[in-house]
Amino acid sequence: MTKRKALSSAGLIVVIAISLFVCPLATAGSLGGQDVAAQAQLAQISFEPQLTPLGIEATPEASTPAILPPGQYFEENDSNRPEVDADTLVGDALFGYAQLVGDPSLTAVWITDSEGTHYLIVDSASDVLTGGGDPNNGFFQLANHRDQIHSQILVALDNRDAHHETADTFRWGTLAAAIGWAACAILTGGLCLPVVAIGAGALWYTENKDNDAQVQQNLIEGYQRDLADDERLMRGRFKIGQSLYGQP
Amino acid sequence: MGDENLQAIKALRTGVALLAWYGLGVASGALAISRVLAGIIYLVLVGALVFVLIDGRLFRRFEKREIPGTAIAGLYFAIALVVYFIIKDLRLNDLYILGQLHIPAVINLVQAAGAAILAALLFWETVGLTRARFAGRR
Repeated sequence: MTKRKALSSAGLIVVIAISLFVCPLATAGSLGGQDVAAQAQLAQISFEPQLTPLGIEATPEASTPAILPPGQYFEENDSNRPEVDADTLVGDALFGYAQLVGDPSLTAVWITDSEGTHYLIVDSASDVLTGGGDPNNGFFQLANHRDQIHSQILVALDNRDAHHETADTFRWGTLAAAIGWAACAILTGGLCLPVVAIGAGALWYTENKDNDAQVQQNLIEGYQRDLADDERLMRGRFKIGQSLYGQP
Repeated sequence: MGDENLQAIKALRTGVALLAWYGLGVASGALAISRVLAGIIYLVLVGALVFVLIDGRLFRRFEKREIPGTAIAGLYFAIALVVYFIIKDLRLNDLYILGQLHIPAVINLVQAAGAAILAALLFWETVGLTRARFAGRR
C-alpha cells in the first residue's frame, strides 16, 4: 500500500514537472507566440513618437499669428516660443521639426543636449532642413531616419523580450526538475532519471533562446549607435543654422 | 519523525516557494509582453504550487522516509541553478529604453531579488538537512 502511494506520488510529481514544459511549448508556439512580421508591421503602424506639447497655448481663431523673422532662437521654457503645427511634426519632443501655425513658410527645428532642448526658427526651404548639398545631413532626412530607427529598436526589443520570456519559462522548468528530482528521490528512493533528463533538455533549450535574445540585443545596440549618430548630426546641423542666422 | 525528515520537509517547502516565486515572475513577464493566455496558464500553475504549499499533504508524505543523498544533491543543484540564472539573466542596463521604463526588465529585477532571498533560505535549510542527515548516520 505504502509502495503504491509512493509510486502514485512520484507519478504526480513527474506529471507536474512535464506540464511545466509542455504548457510553455504549446503556448509559445501557438497561443501566445507573436509573428515577427506582424509585429514589425504593428510597430511601424503604431509607433507614436513622444510628442510633448511645445508649451504654447492654442492660437485664438480670430487673432493673427505674430510674424517672426527666421533665425529666432528659444529655450524649452521660453513662453514666447511659437506654436507649431502638430500635423507637420516629424520627430519627438527631443529632436524634430514642424511648421509654425499660421506660417508654413517658417519651420521650428529642435535638438536636445545636456542643457535641455533648444529651438530655432528657420525658413522652410533652409539648408538646415534640406541639408544643402548633402540631403542626408538635413533635418528632413535625419528626423525621418531617426523615427525609422526608433521603430526598428521597438521591433528588435519585442523580439528580444519574447526570446527572454521563453528562456525564462524553461529556466523555471529546469528549476522545477531539480526540486522535483529531490522530492522524487525521497519518495522513490532514487528512480528519477526521467526528471533529470527533462531538466537537462530544458536547460539546453534555455541556452538556445538566450542566444537568440543576444542576437536581437546586438541589433538593438547597433541601432542605438545609429540613433546617437543621427542625433549628433542634427545637433551639428542646428549649430550651422545658428551661424547662418547669426545666433551665438 | 526525525530531525532529518523535518529538515527535508522545511527544505522542500522552501524549494516549492522558490518555484512559485520564479513562476510568478515568468507569468508577469508573459503578461508584460502581451502573451496573455500563456501568462494566465502560468498563473494557474503558480496557484497549484501555492495550494501544494498551503495544503501541506504532499510534504507529510516525506515523514518517516529515508532521505537519500541524491535528494540533497538535487536541492544543492537547484540553488546553484538559481544563482546561475540570476547572474546570467539579470538585465540592469535595460531599465530605461528610449527614455521610457521597460516593464519586463523591472519584472526581471524583482524576480531576481526575490529568487536570491529564497535561494539563500533554501541553502540554509539544505545545510541544516545535510547536518541532520550526517548526525543521524553517526
